[in-house]
Amino acid sequence: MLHKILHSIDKKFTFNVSKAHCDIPCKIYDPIEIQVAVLTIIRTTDLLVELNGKEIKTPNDNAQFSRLVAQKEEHGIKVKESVRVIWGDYFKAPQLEKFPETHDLVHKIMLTTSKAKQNIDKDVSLELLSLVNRFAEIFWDTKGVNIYKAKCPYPPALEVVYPDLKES
Amino acid sequence: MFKLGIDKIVGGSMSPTIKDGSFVIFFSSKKMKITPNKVYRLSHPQFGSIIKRLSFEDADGNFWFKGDSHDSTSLKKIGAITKQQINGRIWLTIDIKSCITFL
Repeated sequence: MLHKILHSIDKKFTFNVSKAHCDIPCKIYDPIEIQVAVLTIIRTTDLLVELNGKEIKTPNDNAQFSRLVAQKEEHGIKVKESVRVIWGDYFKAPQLEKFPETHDLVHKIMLTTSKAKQNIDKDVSLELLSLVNRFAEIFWDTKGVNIYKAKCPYPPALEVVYPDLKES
Repeated sequence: MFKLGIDKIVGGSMSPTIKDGSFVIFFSSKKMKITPNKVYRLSHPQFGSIIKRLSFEDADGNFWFKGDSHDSTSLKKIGAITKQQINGRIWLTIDIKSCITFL
């Protein structure tokens, strides 16, 4: 009753909103944003290699080169940030006991992301995809969700771990 | 000057003490005591108006806050808060079921 009255007053006069702020919307964790960021790194790496192979580069090519490098950098930061949030906020004792490799895996993701940011190296970015796919596998297992592997339906068309939400 | 106000709460970082969608009544005055474990309303440069529980006061006189939920923004991320940024102490909450809780 009291809440309803306050709600009605709020609709008319609007109370100040105070945020009880979380790092991310509470309990919403999904490694897909990490996987998409890594696919973007791979795609930009491919485009950078292609552009680098051109003998004569136009000003447009140079501008595109800078833009791709910036995108690769930005998505590398996204990978690190999103992995840190899932690892730091979602993973707790039960998940870590079931998958003791998690700390080591996360550390490897951090180092490999740095390498992928620093270099135009397809092999490194592919290694990063394999690491984040493993991270996604572990994550979905701890949620009791089955997974399947499929090629992403866009370039670079590589195998990604997806949650099989129909089966779970 | 004594001030009393009502805020609407958005977010779950103070859950289960203050649930998302609750209303809170806060007060402030020049002589308001700032005591650990009590819940305060802060003006944060990054997050705006937020409510958090006071964890401790450091040796430099800065205050460190955190949420009640595990998902809350960490104490470190909120950072050191000065006395001037604390603009109210939460007195009571009214959740969506109209349940009143004094803090």
